[in-house]
Amino acid sequence: MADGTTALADKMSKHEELVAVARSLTDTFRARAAEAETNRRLHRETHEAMLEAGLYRVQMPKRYGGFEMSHRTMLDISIEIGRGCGSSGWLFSNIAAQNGIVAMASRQLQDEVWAKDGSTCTASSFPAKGGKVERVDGGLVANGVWSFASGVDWSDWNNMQVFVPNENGGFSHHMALVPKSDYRVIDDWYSPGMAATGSRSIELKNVFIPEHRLLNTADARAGKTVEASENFGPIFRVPPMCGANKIFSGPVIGMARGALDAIERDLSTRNNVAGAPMATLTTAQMRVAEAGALIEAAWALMQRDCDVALEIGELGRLTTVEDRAFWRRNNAYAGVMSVKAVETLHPLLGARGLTPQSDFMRAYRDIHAATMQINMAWDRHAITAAELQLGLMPTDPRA
Amino acid sequence: MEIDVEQQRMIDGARAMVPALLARARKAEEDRAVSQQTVDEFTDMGFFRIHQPERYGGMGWDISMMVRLGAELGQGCGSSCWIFSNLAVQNWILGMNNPEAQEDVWGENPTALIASSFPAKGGRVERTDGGLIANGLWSFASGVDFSDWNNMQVFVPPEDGDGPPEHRFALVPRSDYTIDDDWYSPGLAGTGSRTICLDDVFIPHHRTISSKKLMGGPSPGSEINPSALYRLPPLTLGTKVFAAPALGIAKGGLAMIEDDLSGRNTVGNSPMAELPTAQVRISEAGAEIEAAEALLLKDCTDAMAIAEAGDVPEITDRSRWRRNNAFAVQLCVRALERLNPLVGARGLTPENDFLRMFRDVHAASLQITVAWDIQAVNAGRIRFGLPSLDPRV
Repeated sequence: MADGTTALADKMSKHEELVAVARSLTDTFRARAAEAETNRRLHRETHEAMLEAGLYRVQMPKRYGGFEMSHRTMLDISIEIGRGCGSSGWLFSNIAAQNGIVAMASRQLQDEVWAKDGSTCTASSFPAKGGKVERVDGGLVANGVWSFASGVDWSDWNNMQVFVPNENGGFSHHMALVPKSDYRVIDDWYSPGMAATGSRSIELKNVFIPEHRLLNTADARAGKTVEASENFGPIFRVPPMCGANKIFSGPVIGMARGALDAIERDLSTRNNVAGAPMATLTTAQMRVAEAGALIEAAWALMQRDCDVALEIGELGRLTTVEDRAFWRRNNAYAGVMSVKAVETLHPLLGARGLTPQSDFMRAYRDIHAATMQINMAWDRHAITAAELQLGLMPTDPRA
Repeated sequence: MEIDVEQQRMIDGARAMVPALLARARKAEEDRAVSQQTVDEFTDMGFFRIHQPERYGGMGWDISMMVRLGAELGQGCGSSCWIFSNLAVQNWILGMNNPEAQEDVWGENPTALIASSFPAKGGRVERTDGGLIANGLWSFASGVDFSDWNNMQVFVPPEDGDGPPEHRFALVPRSDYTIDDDWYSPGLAGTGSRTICLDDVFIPHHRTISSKKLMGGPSPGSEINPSALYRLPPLTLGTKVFAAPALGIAKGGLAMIEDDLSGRNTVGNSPMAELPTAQVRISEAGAEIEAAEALLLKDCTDAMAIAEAGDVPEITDRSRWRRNNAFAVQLCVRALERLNPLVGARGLTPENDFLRMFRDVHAASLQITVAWDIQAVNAGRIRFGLPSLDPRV
């Protein structure tokens, strides 16, 4: 409890069990993190440990051996793992969340992905470098490059975000699932932060994507995908890209905790130039306290939003645009608080911490990279939430 | 914490009172006292009894209810909210006190109200046979105008004259003190947190309790009040008594600005609501306030889980709860600081509700147990294994 871990009632013992498993992996993942960063990919053992522990199954339908747990379980696991290695936390939550999204697509697609092997993983991607789709009979044809495919090294499927042209000249936003035989991986991930996620691009050439592998996100928001998915659990009623944005804020909070761990370990044993223990410096105590409070507040905010999302799912009501906009705002704000925490701690590192192996500096690099994810972008989500709060029409089409 | 039907009814009731409290808030500030009507309405609603033991007719609800009710009432009037939380918390603390003290206060009058005070102007106690003798001034007695008792913080000199004094609470009835009307604060003026004067007052031993017995885990009162609530530390977890009004006040301040912006145009005649700078201020303040609320409620859940499991919170828990309460207040202060530029010069009137909330939240943040500098340093020290600078943590 002393570290801020929230206690849960007995009925959530599965939650506690999974979080405890995640916690047991943290030290090992931390020990591998520097090498993983250099390799620009996780160790296979890291991925396999998460797979074998069943962590990716948190949001998967029970029909295929999943647990159908709340976003909160995913959040708390990603915080434990991200505390040791930000990239590992990121891959965990990105793969785990894709299982939740696949579960909102057609039953046929779900069978294709999981019927033979419930441990099949799915990565995701976005057409930042200009991938395009066209409508054809019975589906879409995709051409070009889709980027940021975190988890692509370990996945047999990819869930691409696609913008399908409408008759009126606009686009409608879909998710499109493709098996790995449909694409080639381009090794273009040379990021200064979260290097080990290996979030490479994939390239598709004239790939046909049948209708049953598409998920219209507007339909998902409107609750229209539940029947076809045959998944009626409450978490499948919370649409992607709002409640599920915890897949990004969770690892980010974990990175901030990892940074705080590193500073606390270091300060506990270190003296200043005058020979006084660093831990007795009031300014150091203030920085540690403020970082701790920021992180815990961010975590509490995310847990609360997860609980609210689950409640809405259990009631079976649709989310409103306000629910979604405020979740997104809070999610981005949890990132703002976590970054502030790491910035607050940064001066305590001292010049002797400026090494490639420093756990703190890796967390610092990782958290600054992670908060560039558009769903973590405060400037954007602050505006959308305020527009709604002040009675204006939101300018973000995905709100 | 799950909210049951009765609790929800009370929260709804508090929310329904907000417009009336807001309408009375300016007068309460000018009078330096909330009205008897407000206190009577709070009494009728049962607000003061939320943490009182069930054996005396209270609800015995967990501390999250103080946060939830404070988050509503503070939107109308920070001072009224402060009176609510400060009087309600004393009924919790008494529930942990010696059973004889509980009988003294509630035996004949189970709706008795208890204010509290601190010897900031130099009240002193001495040991005597069977108890203490008190002399001098005890200050900040929020709610004293309406109270039948006062729970004073006292520092008892060590028996052999050596070492630090022992911190205790000491209960005195209304007949034991006079009131000095010295509360002229620029913020939370309506709390009327006046000073009480004691002249050679004997306080029997059973009406005093060492704060060491109130650190969580079994308390003298938990023998007769078995709920986990009476095994929690009021001086750390319970400083939500000050954070909850700050939360309510900040929510009220944000609502004021939103209402105002929605109908206002700039000099260039474009709607204020369309200014991205205004939008970001609104969003950041809103997120700060929601984070503060989530943090306050999370600690309540954590603390109850520890107590219900029969465990005792560690000093790292207690100092962290204090730190978090202080941080929640900081978030509320920052939120209103962030919104302040949106008031505009035309808002600079004595009646302006936002600016009263601005004054009130700043005053609340000066209460020492939610004072960020002090609580942050202490939590930081304890995190590094150094001794606490406050004997009450």
